[in-house]
Amino acid sequence: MINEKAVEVDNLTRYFGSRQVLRGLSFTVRPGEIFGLIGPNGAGKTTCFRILATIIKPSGGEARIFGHDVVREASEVRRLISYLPEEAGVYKNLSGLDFLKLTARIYGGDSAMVDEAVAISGLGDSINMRMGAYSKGMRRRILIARALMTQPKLAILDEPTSGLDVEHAVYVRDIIKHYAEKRGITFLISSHNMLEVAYLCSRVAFIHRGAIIAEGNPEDLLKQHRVQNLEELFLKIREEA
Amino acid sequence: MSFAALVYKELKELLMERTILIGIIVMPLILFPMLSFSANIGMSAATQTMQEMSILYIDEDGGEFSKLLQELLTSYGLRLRIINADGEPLSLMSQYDADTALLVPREFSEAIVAGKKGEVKLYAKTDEISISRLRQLSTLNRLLSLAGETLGRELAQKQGINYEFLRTPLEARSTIIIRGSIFEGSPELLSQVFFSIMFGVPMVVLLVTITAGTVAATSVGLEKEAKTLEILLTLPMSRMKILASKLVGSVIIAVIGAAAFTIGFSIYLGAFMNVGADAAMSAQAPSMAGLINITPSSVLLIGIILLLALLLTLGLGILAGTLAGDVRGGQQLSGLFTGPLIFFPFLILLFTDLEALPPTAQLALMADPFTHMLQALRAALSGDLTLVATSLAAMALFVVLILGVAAWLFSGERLVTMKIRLGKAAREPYT
Ligand SMILES: Nc1ncnc2c1ncn2[C@@H]1O[C@H](COP(=O)(O)OP(=O)(O)OP(=O)(O)O)[C@@H](O)[C@H]1O
Ligand SMILES: [Mg+2]
Repeated sequence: MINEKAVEVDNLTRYFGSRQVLRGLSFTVRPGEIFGLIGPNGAGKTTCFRILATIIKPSGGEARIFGHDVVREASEVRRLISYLPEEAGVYKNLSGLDFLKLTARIYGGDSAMVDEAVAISGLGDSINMRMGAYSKGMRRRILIARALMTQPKLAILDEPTSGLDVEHAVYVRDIIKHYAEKRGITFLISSHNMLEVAYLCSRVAFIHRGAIIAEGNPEDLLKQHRVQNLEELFLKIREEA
Repeated sequence: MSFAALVYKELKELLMERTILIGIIVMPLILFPMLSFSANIGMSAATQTMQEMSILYIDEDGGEFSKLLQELLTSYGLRLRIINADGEPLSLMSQYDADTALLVPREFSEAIVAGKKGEVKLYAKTDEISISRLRQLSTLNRLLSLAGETLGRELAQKQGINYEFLRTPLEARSTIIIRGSIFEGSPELLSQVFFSIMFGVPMVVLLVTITAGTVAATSVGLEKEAKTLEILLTLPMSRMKILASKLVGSVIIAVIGAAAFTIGFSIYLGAFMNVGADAAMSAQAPSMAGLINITPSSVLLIGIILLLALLLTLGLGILAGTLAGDVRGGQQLSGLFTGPLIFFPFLILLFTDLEALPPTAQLALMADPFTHMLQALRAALSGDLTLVATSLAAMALFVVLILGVAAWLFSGERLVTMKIRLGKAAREPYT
């Protein structure tokens, strides 16, 4: 299908108890693009990602991944995506290599898949270390490698570079860009780093209090709101909302 | 293939987890041998001091029986320091720097010859009351009465009296017929054997099942604590497969833990085991096998009961792990679930039968899945097939119920959104 959408979020709502966290969230992600979901703390980014990753269910509205409903067709969706949670951790007592091999076996991959993952991680000899001894940056890299080695159609990465030093962050960004361009993987990412968003994303959506308040390609949005950069844009539309 | 990989991951993560590795595998292997080691030290220390203890033997009597007593006590390994002096025993003790003294008064031998009891007095000085000192003194006292008995036997022999006969001129023999087979042995022995099996078998079953529950709770708790759960839940495999990998991993570790416990415990028991009693027990073994139904089919039944019990506690463990936020919370909650459920019926049914209880208590116990486990075990051991069948059916019902709830919780989003905390203990540090 030519006009197939990678992600289609339609009027999504979610309550935690009596508290409404998502209020009619809608946006679409096209195949092959790197789409950035940005917004202040507590806006509902992670909640939205968890719904898309089939971990929690929406209270109302619909979401589809390459045409598959995230609630009714959860197992199909799981085959298409890789999800990197915001604060994902590692199995302390497995080595990086153990973990990648485990992933390959679960996805029915071969040793070539493991080799590629080792290369993505860029961890060198540390790949044989137990992951409990990894630094935050190393953990993020092994998790990114895990997410991309399986050749998902859609990678959902929640703040992929948060807490990383410049070197690790640049490394992760380049990997994302490379896999989007060379392998055609669609990315849905969230970030608080506007430079990163400007560098990576072909389109962005601003989420505020559980609803999208602006969506489009970064240059158009800057022109439209007559601002210099995404940070100014962020502050301006947040004030307006 | 992916399932085996997941089980491997479970084993590796769990076995290296401190609470599991130390609490379930290393502790029993170290703790029990250590306990028996220190007990051994204590015992040999006591024996040693017995030999080192020098006893002042104040022989005022100097007669035949006093000499005999001296010989007997020396033959038991006591070191006697014999003085024939007269005087205040306590001052004699300080004079000879002894803290223990035996006074054999004048007319000791004369009294015995005249058919009256000869009196011996034990004097002991001590600055502090310690276990080893008390043990020393009670051993000394025991040796004295032993010597008294020997003296009595010799006196009787001299007078041509059958001492053994007069001591107990009655002999009780019992024949107990259990479901047609004859058990020749005292009721005491029977109840001892019966109790040790009725207590021992459920103990081991309970041990394995409680452990498995804790391990299952840990396995879920670990995923929450390390924040690996969300990735696990988005993998392209069914939740039931993930759940099953946790159950299988937990069972394997519970079995390893039970083996470690059994090894450690038998080392511990071995240190105390009286060889004579052991031989007596094994002499009874053939008739014991008839008494308690240890047949291939009862072993199979016990296996089935163990499996169902495992599934029960695993289900409870998964429930606990799912409800709690971390490893410690999961373990505590699992203990809170299984502990009372297991020990109430265990303790109650140890002393009475279910039918003997008032109806309300019976009902309350019937609502506890582990009551049925104990009933089933008891019935399997005694060969009551109807009771086995109904108890197994009840257990199976509970298994379906509990595993169903666990699976339901595991497949829903509660797994990631629920975080029950148990008081302050389970709170995260620094917050
Ligand atoms: N399990 C939960 N129970 C109750 N409230 C929750 C739960 N998860 C999220 N929330 C609430 O929902 C709101 C949105 O949270 P969410 O994590 O989606 O925000 P976010 O945009 O990812 O924020 P951040 O940028 O800080 O990561 C927050 O106010 C949060 O407290
Ligand atoms: Mg977030």
